[in-house]
Amino acid sequence: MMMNGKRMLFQNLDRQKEEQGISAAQAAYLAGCRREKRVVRLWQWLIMVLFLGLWELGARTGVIDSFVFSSPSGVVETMITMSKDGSLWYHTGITLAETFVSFLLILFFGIGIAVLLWWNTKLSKILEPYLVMLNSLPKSALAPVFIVWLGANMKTIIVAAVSVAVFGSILTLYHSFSETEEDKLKLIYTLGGGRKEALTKVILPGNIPTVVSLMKVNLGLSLVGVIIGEFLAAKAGLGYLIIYASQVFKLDYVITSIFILCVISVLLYHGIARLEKK
Amino acid sequence: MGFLDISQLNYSYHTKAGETKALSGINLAVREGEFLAIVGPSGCGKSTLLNLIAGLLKTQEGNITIEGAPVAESRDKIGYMLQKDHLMEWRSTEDNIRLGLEINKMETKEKEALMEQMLKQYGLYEFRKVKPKELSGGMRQRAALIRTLVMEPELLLLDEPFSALDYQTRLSVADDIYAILKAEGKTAVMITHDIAEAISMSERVIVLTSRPGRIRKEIQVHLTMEDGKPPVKPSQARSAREFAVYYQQIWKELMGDDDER
Ligand SMILES: Nc1ncnc2c1ncn2[C@@H]1O[C@H](COP(=O)(O)OP(=O)(O)OP(=O)(O)O)[C@@H](O)[C@H]1O
Ligand SMILES: [Mg+2]
Repeated sequence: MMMNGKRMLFQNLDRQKEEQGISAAQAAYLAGCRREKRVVRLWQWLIMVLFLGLWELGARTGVIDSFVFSSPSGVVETMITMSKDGSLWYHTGITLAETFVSFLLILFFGIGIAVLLWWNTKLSKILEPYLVMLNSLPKSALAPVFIVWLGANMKTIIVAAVSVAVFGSILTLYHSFSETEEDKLKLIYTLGGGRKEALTKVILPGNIPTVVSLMKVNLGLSLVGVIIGEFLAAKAGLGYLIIYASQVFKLDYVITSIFILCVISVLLYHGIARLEKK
Repeated sequence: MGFLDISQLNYSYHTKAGETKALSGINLAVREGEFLAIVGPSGCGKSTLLNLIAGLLKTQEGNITIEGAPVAESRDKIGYMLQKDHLMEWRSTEDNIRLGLEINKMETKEKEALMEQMLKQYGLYEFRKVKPKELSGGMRQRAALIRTLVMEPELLLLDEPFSALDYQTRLSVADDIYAILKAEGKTAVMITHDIAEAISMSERVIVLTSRPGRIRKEIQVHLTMEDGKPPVKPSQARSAREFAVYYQQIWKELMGDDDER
């Protein structure tokens, strides 16, 4: 009787699980997945702790010169003093703001010009070689020119950052637009639509995945562009801080800035990844 | 004069590689309510002919009129079914069907009601909110048909509408579409590679020559079943008495084309 009751209980549990769409084998598989994820996480933490630990130990014992290589505790101290006097938030804020503005401008001009090229095939034929050239040109070469034209200010930094990613974005989007199935456009025309409807009903919605993946790349590229700009033309921002602090041998500040950049790129990447899921 | 009139139609494509003469001297009149099938060798200009009727290509020589008016003025009278359904993956079934209404700013209460009625009638009502990837091939084709029919065209152009479907689905969708067109009293011009499909669905079969396409033969189709009545569904037509004779005749016309070359 007892046995029977127990078995029934188990059967009920099993059935419940199956009703939720999970069989025993599936449950075992999921458990396996979870275990693997835990192991991966464990190693990730281990590597970080080991790296920071050895670095700190080396700095303390004098194996590595903490004046040149800084040290984790030095970075923490710097972060505390910087956040107390507010300079941490100030420089990070400036860099972030510049990155977002550049990112939005790249998105705007990237999509806008790609649409224009798709709309006007002749224009795209005329401009293509120029775009290809501008895209493969190393943009850091342009930064000094921008300084001369626009002055050593935020405008230059944003223009430099935009120039890093905008040409590639235009080309990628334009090619993705042109590869849209010809018959899908024909469908729009058979329903009485014109080029405008083809754009709004087929081309743009159909290319959302391309735009999102481009956004992922562009966020990283805008940050690169902004830092290059700040190296050359800034009075504030993390790029400025890195250059300035390295010139006066305050390596704690340099490493702290780099550390903040690491955090920013991870956060931005996850932000876009979340957007992609929607 | 018919419902659709085509006279002395010639058409050539121009590319860098040279000129391709696609159609030559086509004369054709289609009655209102008629179901016309066009067969011909691959590349003979069938799709070109349909694109010209639909006004997607401009006529170069000759005339095409619908109820006496040039096609450029009658585009809203024409519905076009392509080989693939081309449902937009990001739109639900009903939003796909609304596409034509959106484009023509015709999202009225009457159209919504018509759409709902058609969805129910053709077994898609429960699936109106789902994305196309959850529909079967036959359901997708029916959704594409409703998208065309909800615009209430008077003339329907079908370019190999079933060729993307497997044989089973193909027969049942052909039955469905035939029933819908007959119930709505639509005029239809259908291109097909399948001789059996042409005989079983149409009242008249036009055989084109290979490029440049000319009309080689017109065949009136009259089928009778065992009971002496015409078949009700295209899928029954294959067992009609005269079926094999028509099949042979059309087959010979298509093959004869090769002999002459
Ligand atoms: N846009 C185009 N530019 C140049 N030539 C074309 C174009 N479209 C079609 N052709 C040529 O015109 C001829 C007729 O084409 P069409 O598409 O009308 O043939 P079809 O009878 O529909 O063929 P299929 O049965 O294979 O669909 C073909 O030889 C094709 O190569
Ligand atoms: Mg064709």
